[in-house]
Amino acid sequence: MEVLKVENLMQSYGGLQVLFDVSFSLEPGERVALIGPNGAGKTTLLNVLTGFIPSAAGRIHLLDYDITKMPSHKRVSLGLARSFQLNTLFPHLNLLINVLLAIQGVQTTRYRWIRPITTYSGNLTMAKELLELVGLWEERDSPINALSYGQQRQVEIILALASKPRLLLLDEPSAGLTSGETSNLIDMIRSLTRDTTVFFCAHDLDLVFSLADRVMVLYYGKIIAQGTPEEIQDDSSVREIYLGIEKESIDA
Amino acid sequence: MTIHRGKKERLFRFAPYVIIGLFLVTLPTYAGVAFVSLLTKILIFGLLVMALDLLVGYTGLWAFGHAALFGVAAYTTGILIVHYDITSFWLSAPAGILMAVFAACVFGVIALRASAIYFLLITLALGQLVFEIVNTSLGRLGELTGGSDGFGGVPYPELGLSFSTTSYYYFVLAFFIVCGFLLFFILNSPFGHSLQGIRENETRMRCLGYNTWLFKYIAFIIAGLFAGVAGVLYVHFNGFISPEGVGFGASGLLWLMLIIGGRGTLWGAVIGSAVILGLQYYSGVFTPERWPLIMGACMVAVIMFYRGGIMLHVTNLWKKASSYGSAKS
Repeated sequence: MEVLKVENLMQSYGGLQVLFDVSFSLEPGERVALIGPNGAGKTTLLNVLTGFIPSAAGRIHLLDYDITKMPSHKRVSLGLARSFQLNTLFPHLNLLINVLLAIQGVQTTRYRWIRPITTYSGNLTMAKELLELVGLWEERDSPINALSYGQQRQVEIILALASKPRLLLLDEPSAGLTSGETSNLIDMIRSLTRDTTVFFCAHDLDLVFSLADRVMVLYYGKIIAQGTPEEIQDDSSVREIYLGIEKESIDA
Repeated sequence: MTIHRGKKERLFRFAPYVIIGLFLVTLPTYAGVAFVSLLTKILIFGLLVMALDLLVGYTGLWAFGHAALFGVAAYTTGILIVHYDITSFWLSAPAGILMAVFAACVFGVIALRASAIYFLLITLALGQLVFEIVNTSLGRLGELTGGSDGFGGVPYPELGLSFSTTSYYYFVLAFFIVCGFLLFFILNSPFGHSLQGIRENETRMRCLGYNTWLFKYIAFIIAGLFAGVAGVLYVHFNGFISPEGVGFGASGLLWLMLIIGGRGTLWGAVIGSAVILGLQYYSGVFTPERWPLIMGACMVAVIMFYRGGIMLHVTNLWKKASSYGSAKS
C-alpha cells in the first residue's frame, strides 16, 4: 500500500495556476526526487502536502488517512516530516534544545511542565544519536547562530528526522552546501532505513541521480515525466526544458 | 543519561538565589515600615510582570491588556469582601483568581485569532473593555465598583492572624517565592521550551507536530492565573482599587517594567518592577510632578545603554565572574 497518494491536486495564486491536476503516489521505502525549473511549483507542492496551504481541489492520502483538510501538526503525528529550503531553526536556543524540541514534538512529554527538559533521559539519548549522526554532539551547548551554515543545514535535516517519520519531505536539502558537505548529506540520507520514504526536491542533479530510485519532473504545475533516473536523463521533453537547445539542434 | 555540571559551577548557579533570598527574608528586621511596604508592592508587581514575561518574553505574544486580568482578580476579591461580606480568604482569593483565569480563557480565544501586532491591538482593546466596565458609575455595577472613583476598605486577608505591614510582607513573599519558582520550573520544562520554540519559529513548531495554538492558549491562561494571584495580593495590600490600575496606562507601565528589567529573563521582571516603583516612590518624596519625566528618561537610558534590559547585563557579568571563578579552581 502507498505511503502517499495524491489525486488531482490543484492550486493557484490569484490567476496563476501553480499546480495543475497533480497525481502521483509513493511506495514504502522509495526515494523519489522532484525536479523542475524555478517556479515549477515544487515548494508549493510540499507546502500543500505539509498543510501550510490548503489545496484548491484534489485529495491527499497519507497511509490510511485522508489528510487533505488536516492541520499540519496532526499530519506530523501520522508520520509526515519536512525540512525547509531556507534554514528554519530556533536561533536563540541552543543546539540540544533545538533537537529535543523536535523529538518531543510527537510525544506527550511536550506538555510536561515541572521537570527540566534536559532530564528526560529517553529523549536525551535520542538527541545524542541524532547529533552524533552529523558529528555535532560536542557542539550541543552552542546557540544555533554560532554554527556554520553547513552545520545548520545538517541540523535542519535531523530536526525533520527526529520524529522518526514514515514519510520525509526534503526541500532542496543541499542548497548552499559545498560538494563535500553534499556528499556527507547523501551518505546520511542513504543510511536511513527503508522504513522511511524520502521525497525530495532538488536542483542539484548529482544529488538527484545518486539518491533517487525514481524522478518526477514538474513543469509549470504539471508532472510532465516520471521514471528511473536513466529514463529521465534520456527523456527528450526533459532535455528540452533543462537544456532548451535540443529541439533547435534537431531542427538545424 | 544526564548532563553533569561541576560542583563549583553549581555553587555559582545557586549562590544568587541564596543571597537574594536571605536579603528578602531578613530585610524587615533592619528596614523601616515604609521600605517594607514598598518592597511588598515591588514583589506583587514583580510577580505580575513575570507573568507578562511568560507571554511577551518567552512565547512571543505581545499582550497589552495584562493589567486588566490583574484588575479582574482585584475587583472580584475586593467586591466580594466589601459588598458581599465574604471575608474568608479561602473563598474570596480563589474567586478572584478564578475570575482572572476565566477572563484569560475568554480573551485568549478572541485574541489568539491574530498574531504579532494585531494580537497586541486586540489585547489592548480587551483591556480597555475591562477598564470601561469598571469605570462606569451607572446601575448596580457602578455601585459595586465605585465607577471612576474606585472603592476602598479592603482589609488584610482574614486568615485567623492579625496582619501588620511586616507580616503581610512575609505573606506576599511566600506567594512570590512559590509562584516565581513555579514559573521558573515551567519555563525550563518541555512545555516552557515549547513556548520558546514558538517564539523563535512558530511555523517550524507546527511542522514538528506542535499544536501551537493550544500552547499559546495555555500560556495565556497561565499568565492570567499568576496575574490573578498578583491582583488578589494587591487589593489586600492597597485596600483600594480604581480603574486607573486596570487600563491602558497600567498595562503600559507593566511593559515598561518588563523592558527595563529585560524580557525573556524571568527574574528581570522583578528588577524592572523594583526600578520603576523605587524611582516612583523616591521621586514622589522629592518632586512628584517630575515623575513622568524621570520615567521617560529611564526608558530612554535603558533602550540606549542597556538594550535587552538590566537583567541580561547582570547575568552576563555573573557568567563572566563564575567562569573566572570556576577556572581558578
